[in-house]
Amino acid sequence: MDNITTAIKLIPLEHYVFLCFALFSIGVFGILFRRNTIVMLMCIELMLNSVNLLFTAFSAYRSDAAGQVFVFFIMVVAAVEVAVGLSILVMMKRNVNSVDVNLLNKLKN
Amino acid sequence: MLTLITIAATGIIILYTTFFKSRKLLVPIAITGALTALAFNISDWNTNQLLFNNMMKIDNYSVAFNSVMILSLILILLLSHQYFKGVDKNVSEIYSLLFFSFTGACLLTSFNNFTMLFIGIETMSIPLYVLAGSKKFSIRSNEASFKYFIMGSFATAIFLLGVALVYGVTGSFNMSEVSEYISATAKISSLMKLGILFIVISIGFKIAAAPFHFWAPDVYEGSPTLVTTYMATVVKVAGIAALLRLLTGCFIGAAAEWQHILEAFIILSFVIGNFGAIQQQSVKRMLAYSSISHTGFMLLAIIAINQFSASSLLYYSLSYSLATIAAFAVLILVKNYKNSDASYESFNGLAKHNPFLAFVMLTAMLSMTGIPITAGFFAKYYVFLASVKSGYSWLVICAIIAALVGVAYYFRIIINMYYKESNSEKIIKDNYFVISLIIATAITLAVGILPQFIIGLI
Repeated sequence: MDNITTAIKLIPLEHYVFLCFALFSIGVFGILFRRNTIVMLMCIELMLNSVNLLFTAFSAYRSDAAGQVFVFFIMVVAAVEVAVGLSILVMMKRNVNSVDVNLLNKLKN
Repeated sequence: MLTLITIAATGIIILYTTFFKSRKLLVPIAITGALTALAFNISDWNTNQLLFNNMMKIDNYSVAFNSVMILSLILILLLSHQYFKGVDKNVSEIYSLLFFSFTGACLLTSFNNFTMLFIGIETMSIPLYVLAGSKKFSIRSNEASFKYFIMGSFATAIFLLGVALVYGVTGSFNMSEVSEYISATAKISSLMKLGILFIVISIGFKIAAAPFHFWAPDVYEGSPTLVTTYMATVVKVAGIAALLRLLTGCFIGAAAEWQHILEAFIILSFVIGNFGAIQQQSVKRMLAYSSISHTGFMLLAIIAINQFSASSLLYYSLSYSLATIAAFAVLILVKNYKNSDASYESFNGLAKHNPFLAFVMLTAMLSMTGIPITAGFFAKYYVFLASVKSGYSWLVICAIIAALVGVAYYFRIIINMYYKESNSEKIIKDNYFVISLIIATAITLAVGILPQFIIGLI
């Protein structure tokens, strides 16, 4: 464990922060601009995992285990969200035979 | 803690009733569970316990908000018997999902740690994604479910980024430790500011505060009406209570940072909520927009952040929940009877053959507008008082204008009910439904006449 944290600390903390923000932004743009719902689900995963990376980096730099424990909670919730999200997609696919988000426009003024 | 256990256990018990094919028992079991939880909850009054290694803090604030939410839950459960009459499959799952979601709502009022806040938000939201889509073969329900899911997950990710930044700066998830760190440092670092911004924005998503409201009208319209009622009352109250708890318990030292964000939330909620509501032809969508405007009023109590904030917010939550439940209940009946899209016209002449329903709707609409002797008047009064005391007079003036604009769409229903003719007949409603309507209306009037009972509590 010790050599892992020293290995993590070899890279400056700022680099981790920038990397996480970059990954997070890719996820945000994916959700905003991709029209395929499965890709949108993947983008949510990307956002959550970039946050996981940030937690791990902070946790290693502070030598505090709480951040890494939080990562487990995020992983569990991410798994649950994907399960629910995919089942919603299956339901949609059965009804409209497509997973394109543009078909979801029945609710308008 | 017993409250939480009771709620979660009731959810599991309801799940098992499927084996006994006893539809009649569903609502009694659910209501017994909720009432037991209410009793345990009230027995926690004045105890101030720290639970789960300081992760949860049961104090009078959480007990009061839990009671309001359990009351809303009971009223919604009473409505559910008639609502699910035509549905023959998977009804018990819907009830248990409601209870599981409610477990998260209880966590949201009593967290003392960011971990608990995160778990609370997720436990509350994830069953709701399923509930929103519980009309499996309706494409509108699918759409509502998917939109809610994407927006909710998006907000969760933003929330987690905010928590990560706060953790990176302070090195702790505990609210009091973060609060001590903020008060000890002279200058708040920009990462911390960004973290606070992200956290407040993500809760803004959950409570449908403008400009993060855009999912709300669609989701409210597409979901089954009973689920919409739950979303508009319990979920919103839990989110708002969590926000106040977070800001007072944790970020009070950085008030200057988030007060600007909340100012923008409030003004935009008033503008978008009211002008959105005026334009709607469907009452369900109108109620969705009006709930956005009510979020603005509730945020007004939070932005004041003084000793009146908690009590005025509690009072507003109670009056708003009761009025919303009553309005949605009448809407359910009218919508099912006319089999319509719940336009304003379907309310025409309701008072002639259904004077009780019309009276319930009248009280609800008057309470939402804020007319005296209903709870809504003092709710708005105390919220305004709290924010004037903190020097937000200009926001109060905006709020009064917003309340006046609200007359336009709330009174439209009243006029349609009482002054328009139509050939409607008596609408059939079962006993549970009537009890729920009577309780909601009676408490609205009682609390409106004697506000000091609630306002002096916390």
